[in-house]
Amino acid sequence: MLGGYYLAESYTGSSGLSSDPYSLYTPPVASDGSSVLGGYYLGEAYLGDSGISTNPYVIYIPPASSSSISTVRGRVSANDYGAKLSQERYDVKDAQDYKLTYSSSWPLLKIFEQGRKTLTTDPFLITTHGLGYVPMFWAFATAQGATNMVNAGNGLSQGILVNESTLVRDGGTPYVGSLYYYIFAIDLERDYKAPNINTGIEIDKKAPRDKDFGLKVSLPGYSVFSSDLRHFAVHSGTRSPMLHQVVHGSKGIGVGSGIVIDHNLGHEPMFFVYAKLSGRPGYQLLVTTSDVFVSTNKQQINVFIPYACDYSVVILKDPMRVN
Amino acid sequence: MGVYKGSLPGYDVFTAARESLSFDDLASPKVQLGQTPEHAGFIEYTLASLPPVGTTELFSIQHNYKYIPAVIMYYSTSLVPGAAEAFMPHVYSEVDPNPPFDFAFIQVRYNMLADRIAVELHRTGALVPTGAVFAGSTWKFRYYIFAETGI
Repeated sequence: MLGGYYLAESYTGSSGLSSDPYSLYTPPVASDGSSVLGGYYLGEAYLGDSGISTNPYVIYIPPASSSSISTVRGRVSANDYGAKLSQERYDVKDAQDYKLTYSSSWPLLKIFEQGRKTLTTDPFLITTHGLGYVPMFWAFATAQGATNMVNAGNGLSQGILVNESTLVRDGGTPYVGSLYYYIFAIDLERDYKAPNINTGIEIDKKAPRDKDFGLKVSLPGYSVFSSDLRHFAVHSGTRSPMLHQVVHGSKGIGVGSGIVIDHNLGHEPMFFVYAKLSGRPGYQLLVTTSDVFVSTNKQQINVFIPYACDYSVVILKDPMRVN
Repeated sequence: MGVYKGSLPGYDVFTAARESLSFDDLASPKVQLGQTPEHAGFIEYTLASLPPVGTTELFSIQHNYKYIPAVIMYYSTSLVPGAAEAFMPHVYSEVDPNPPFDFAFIQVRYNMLADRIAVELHRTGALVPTGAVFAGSTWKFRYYIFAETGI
């Protein structure tokens, strides 16, 4: 099965409406004799668009002429069961972890809140997220003629900062005009490490593209047939960053030997580093080499921060050097 | 009613908080697959010579969205001895690579534009000790162009 979907015993849905979370749904035949649905549809996204099913746990099996499912119920190993979805063209049964679109064994970077604000005063309240913990965030803005991810400035004395309740601009920044921000449902101060399930060497087993296959879950209020990818929680025509690890701690002044983190991914991962200086109102994303210096290898990541600070290192499963 | 969610191992899907769910009805940043050029890519670039004062676009990546998408990008450079293969550095926007070279007057950055993502060198003045080292330097860029809004 390529670009497929695993559903196993740890997935039970959330509403409790179904006594059999694995029940399969065979779609009706459209009036022209063909199936009009091309993939798997689960839950509300499906209900919201077709109104065909009243069972939120149904799985749609594409017609035999499209693709076949060989594994719907299955256990990957004794320690890993749940749902996983591979990127298109990859076999879900043996795809490396980073070739998945999602897995129930680790989180995606779920967007709790996003929005656009125009920076004016300083300090400037961008949003009150109210999560009660310090969430991971991204922000994009324009400075010196370029629009990109915002970075801390002047030794972290200025920038965009996040704490348990708010996202603020504090101390001024070179950024002007609009700022677009993302707040993720990931706690920067809670250590986390996902399992490594398949970190083997890459085997090129890509199959031809088949657009009529996979999984789509639209966001509440949006059609599952939307052509705008921003309207989806999950879409198997995409890949999403997958969280591997969060390491939180404190350090003194000077880089010393760095903060050494074992990720054991088998490849160099993508990462983000956040830091909070004493007396500052929150964590900032460190971007420039004057604020943070990071070296990686296939088993470890080494982070050098010159400041005395609380830090949080977010490591993705996504590889740096390969796709 | 969010009826589509899965919990992380060890958490009850019925009671788990959002941060203990592997997926639910929240969106995630998504990179569209099957694009040319790729929206999840890796590019190596050799700089022929030091660019003049001002902004020089080294190369760009078309994205085909009708809005400016969110982008993250990392880079490494042979200008830092031992760095090109030993590590991949940071998400970058404006970058002042560390010694031995003083790049205080030059920045490598990406620029999210309406039709493309441009990688630029932005030089504002003289280089110390010299700009000659830039000629023939190699740069590696890792990027994700997301379908999500960038600005």
